[in-house]
Amino acid sequence: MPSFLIKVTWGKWQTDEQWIPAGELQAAALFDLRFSNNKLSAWKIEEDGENLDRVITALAVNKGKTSIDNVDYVLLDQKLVEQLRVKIEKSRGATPDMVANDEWHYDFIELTVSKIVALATCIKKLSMDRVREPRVRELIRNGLKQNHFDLNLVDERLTTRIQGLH
Amino acid sequence: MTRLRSGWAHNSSRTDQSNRWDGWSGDSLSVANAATTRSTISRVDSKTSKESSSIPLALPQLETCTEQLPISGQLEQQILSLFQTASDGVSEDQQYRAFSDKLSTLVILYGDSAIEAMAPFIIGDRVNAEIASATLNCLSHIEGRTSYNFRIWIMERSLQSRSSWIRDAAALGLEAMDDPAAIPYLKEALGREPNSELRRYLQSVLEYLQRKR
Repeated sequence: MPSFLIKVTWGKWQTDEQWIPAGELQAAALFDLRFSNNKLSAWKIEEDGENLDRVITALAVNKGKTSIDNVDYVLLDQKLVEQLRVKIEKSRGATPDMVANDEWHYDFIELTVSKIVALATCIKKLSMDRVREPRVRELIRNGLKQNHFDLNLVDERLTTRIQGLH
Repeated sequence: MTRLRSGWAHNSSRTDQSNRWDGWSGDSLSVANAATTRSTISRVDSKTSKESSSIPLALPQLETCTEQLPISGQLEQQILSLFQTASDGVSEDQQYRAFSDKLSTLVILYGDSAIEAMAPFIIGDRVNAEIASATLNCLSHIEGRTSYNFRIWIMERSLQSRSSWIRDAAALGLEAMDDPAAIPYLKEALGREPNSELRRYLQSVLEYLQRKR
């Protein structure tokens, strides 16, 4: 069964700050579940994980990115999403990778506050994955070679850094 | 004087215990007070364990409000303004970009002094973990040798933060800076790291830098 990737920031999900009561999450975590029009962006990852690297690359060069950074993410099994009664809708992504945008981008739709909280609680229990910066560099290099993304759609500062990769 | 594990020593003439290095409160008054407190960090030679240099961490208080601000005074104010603006948030791409641009400009203009002025905010927990992490991330991506040693120092020192978010950002910063000189500090951090996930990340950063040797 496929799963859905949501990009997160590991630190936002940590609960060791003294002010965070036991069993709570810091509000910053909700920013990883930022939604507009009651929709949350997610990426479908095939069961064999074959498209994972390409999705990671698309996120690493996404609009607004100015440097090459690690990518933290969580994978939600499709079954789990269904159990949370979250509706899923195919939509077009907005990264510089047109294939990824067309093939694998989805929205979690008709989200309510309780569904967002349920998602957050669920994510907290899952283990997060991280693609570290050196690997992200490698993925970007490969993606560039294979024309997986349009460099013209990448922030010019990031473009300069990408062009400096060897 | 407190000898820091990172090879730097911190000297402070402060007597007010409420302004302790590891627990300053974050209101603007204490920020302003702390910014005028005399404080230095000293580089410690790892072989001889002797101090090889001393760097002031803050500025003497201005005598009158009409006195012309020295460049470093202007810098203090700009850093304060940077972090005050950042307290509105750095999560949105535009917010982060504006923060990053301003921070990079300050480092390019003022060099090491900019990092000195930022240190109490990052190491002293006077900004929240999100802003501290964003700062470390920006510092790690500044191109070239500008304030390189100071940037490495603040990363190493941040590995001792109480916040796992900041410790993680520091480790990621050291990885981004690609410098095997950070290995001993990462080893120390790994030895005391209570968070199992972060231990795993630290281990992988360590292995990566060891391969670069």
